Amino acid sequence: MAEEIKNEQQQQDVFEKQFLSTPQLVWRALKRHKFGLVAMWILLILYIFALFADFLSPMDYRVQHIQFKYAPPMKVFWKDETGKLAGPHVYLYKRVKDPVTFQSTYKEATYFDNFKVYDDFSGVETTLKVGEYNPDYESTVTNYQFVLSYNTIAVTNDGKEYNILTESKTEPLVTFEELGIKDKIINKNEEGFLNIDQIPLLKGENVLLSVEDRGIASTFYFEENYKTKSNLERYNLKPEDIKEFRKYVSLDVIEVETEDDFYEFYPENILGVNLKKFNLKFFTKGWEYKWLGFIPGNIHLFGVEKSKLPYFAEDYASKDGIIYLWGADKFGRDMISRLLFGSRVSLTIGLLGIAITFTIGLMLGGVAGYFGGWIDEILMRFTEILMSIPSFYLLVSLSAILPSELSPSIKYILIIVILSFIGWPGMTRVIRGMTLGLKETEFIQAAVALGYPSRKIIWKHLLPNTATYVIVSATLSIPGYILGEAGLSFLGLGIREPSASWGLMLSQAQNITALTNYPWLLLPGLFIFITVLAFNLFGDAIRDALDPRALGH
Amino acid sequence: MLKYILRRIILSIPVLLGVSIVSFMIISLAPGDFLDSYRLNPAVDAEQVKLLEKNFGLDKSPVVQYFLWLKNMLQGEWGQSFTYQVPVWDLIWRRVGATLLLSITTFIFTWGIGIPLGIYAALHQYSLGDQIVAVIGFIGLSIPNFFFALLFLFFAAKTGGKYFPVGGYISLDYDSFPVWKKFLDIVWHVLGPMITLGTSGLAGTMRIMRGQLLDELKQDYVEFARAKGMPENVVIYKHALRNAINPIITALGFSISGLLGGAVLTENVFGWPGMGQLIIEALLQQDIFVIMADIMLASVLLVVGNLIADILLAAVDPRVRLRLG
Repeated sequence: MAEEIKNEQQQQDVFEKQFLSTPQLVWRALKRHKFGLVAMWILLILYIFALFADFLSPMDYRVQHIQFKYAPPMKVFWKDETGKLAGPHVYLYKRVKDPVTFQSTYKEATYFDNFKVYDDFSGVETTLKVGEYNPDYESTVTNYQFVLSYNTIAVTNDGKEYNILTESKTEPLVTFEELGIKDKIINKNEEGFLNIDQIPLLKGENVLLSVEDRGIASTFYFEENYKTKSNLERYNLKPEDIKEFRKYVSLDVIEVETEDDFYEFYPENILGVNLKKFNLKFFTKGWEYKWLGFIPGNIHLFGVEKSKLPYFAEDYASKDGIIYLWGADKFGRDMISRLLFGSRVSLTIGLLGIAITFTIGLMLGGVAGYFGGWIDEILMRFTEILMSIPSFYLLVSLSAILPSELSPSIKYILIIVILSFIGWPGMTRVIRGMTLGLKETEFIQAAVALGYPSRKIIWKHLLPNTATYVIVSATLSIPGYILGEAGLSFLGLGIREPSASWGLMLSQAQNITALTNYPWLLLPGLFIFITVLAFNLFGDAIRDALDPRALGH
Repeated sequence: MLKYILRRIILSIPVLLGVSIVSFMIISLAPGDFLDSYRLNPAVDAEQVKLLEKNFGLDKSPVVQYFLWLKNMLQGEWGQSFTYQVPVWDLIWRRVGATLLLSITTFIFTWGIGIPLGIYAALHQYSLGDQIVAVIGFIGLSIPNFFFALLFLFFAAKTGGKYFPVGGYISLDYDSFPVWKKFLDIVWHVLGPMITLGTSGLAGTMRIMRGQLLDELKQDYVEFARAKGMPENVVIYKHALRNAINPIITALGFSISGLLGGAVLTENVFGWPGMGQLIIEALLQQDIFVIMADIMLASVLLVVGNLIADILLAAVDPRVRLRLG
């Protein structure tokens, strides 16, 4: 039985070898390489992503949002503040500065989108929504602000508490933490508004913000930086009398601006609020682009709507909906979008570079090998000279002589030319070596004897015989071009801002502070790694697949 | 042998001359020169710029400049750095040490680990160990040097510089250390750049070694030696390995070039004061003599590396020696 199966297998093999075409055989051999196949699919996906970068990018890769610089990756929330499933949504950030170290961090901030208030003056209950027309006031709500007071309570050694108003601030928004509802789920009332009773700050109560517990340092800090000194003197308190400080915040008033008027609401007049969430939507309208340079469009695979929040909400000037799923760079540009557009440069530079290098290499190598003599001598001496300069030195020198005011597309082409200039000597040497050997074979001798012109012999007979080597070596040398461009851009000698390439993006991660605080800046490096690895694996598989022994010839 | 070395050295002279012409040509192609910042600066008057031009020889045509440079260089005069106002040689001499230190340690690291691993992989073909080595090899080959360097620094910074220093060549209080501690300090600092540079070379060495040894093990003479009853160790290590190591030695020359090139980025990330850093600075400042000296020196290293490789090859492989004669 086993013998029979084996026999059948052998017969099938023989059949396939006889009746399958070469591409079919190559494909069959390639399929045996699991890693190679996976690498091929990864590369295909990466190239498709690069092609549709405009459609896939949620934000414009060139537009800076300096207020969101180094913004961390946004969290996607599925449940709303009441704990119910609400579809994927994100919240905008609020930048929070540590008062002592001055280091800023981002918090997911909860902007109030709309709220229901009771107007004591006219006696009406009305719902205000930013950016929307309000029928009661016959005007559009444009802006709102919260006036908050920050209070400090100084507790003395004998347990007495002294209230000191430290400052009054007009704050744009509140975070869950500041509301004192960090881990609490808030209920909604009948009209769908959040229940005010559960948000003490909006009810007009004091909300404990943070307990200052910095030991001795806090005493000095309060004395020197806050306007507390006079207050402390008024109470006749000395720093050594004070055991601790406690910090409270309370809401004084909400100021609402409409197109032609201005209203103030006190906490007791607020009946309900709603928090602004930004729903993640698919096929959403966003920034405008021209696909492939001429097809205009503004549809994106995913994104959030442009916010109608007032000017202090920080994304006011943006035409994009703010969404940073993988964080933002030094200028507040979206990493995903820049990675996608950067891939256009990083992925094509290898292909174009290879095309140029191989044209030169095949031509010069073929000519040198076929004719030999002084042509060979001159060409080979020149390649030797170029090979005697360490390639990266040559690369850096060549790109350093480019004037800096070139347009991005010209710069891109010149970088490819330079990379090919570095690559051709090695290629030429190998092709020459192969032609030297092939020249002596009988079929070439026959072609010569038949009086074929040299041009025809080189193109039609010699070079096609190097095809296997050329294909393999092309796939395996593409990573070199990708790395070359990445290295140049990393040094600031390649693609320039505001264009994107993976190397250029990675150059922002050069200093230690950026590295440790904003590790998402390393993402482009990961992409370079994946691409280069995929090309190496795929090249390896192709080499095996094109090996005549694997094809069974 | 001596005759061969001599011939190789003489043959390398025209190549180096060609390198100098090409490099000078490239630099001359660049728009502007070192004095551009002075020309744009209203505080520096035109007369002074003219004087400087004359002093630096920038008023002459590139061809004349080249021959002047060549003449001076042959007399051992490498010119002055425009930026630092010191002889180029002084500037480079300090850097060559750091670059050589890095190259040599990297080289030892690459070969010391790569060759044994390659041999192991070949002798245990298709085993789990072989596959692990292959995966590590591919990762090492694909991870860009500067990205690896960044990851390395990221790690060093996250651990607070406990295991590895966060870049640099020596510690801040280096001068106060006793001699043995100075040595250890440099070794500690070289580890990061060395591992970074070494990983890519490691993968290549490993893969070539494995492939070569596998090829040799399939040869008839190996079968013959086994049939004769020769112990397996002798067959592998004395006969097959000796032939298999040949292409690795040829790769030596190239690996020096790779090291110098890769070092530009790695030095940049680690703040390693080597020649790579110097050339980037010099290129941005258009400090011609420094660039020229840097490129020439690197090319000499490459030529010397190739020469050493060929000599080693002759020493290892008896078949090659015959051809050299």
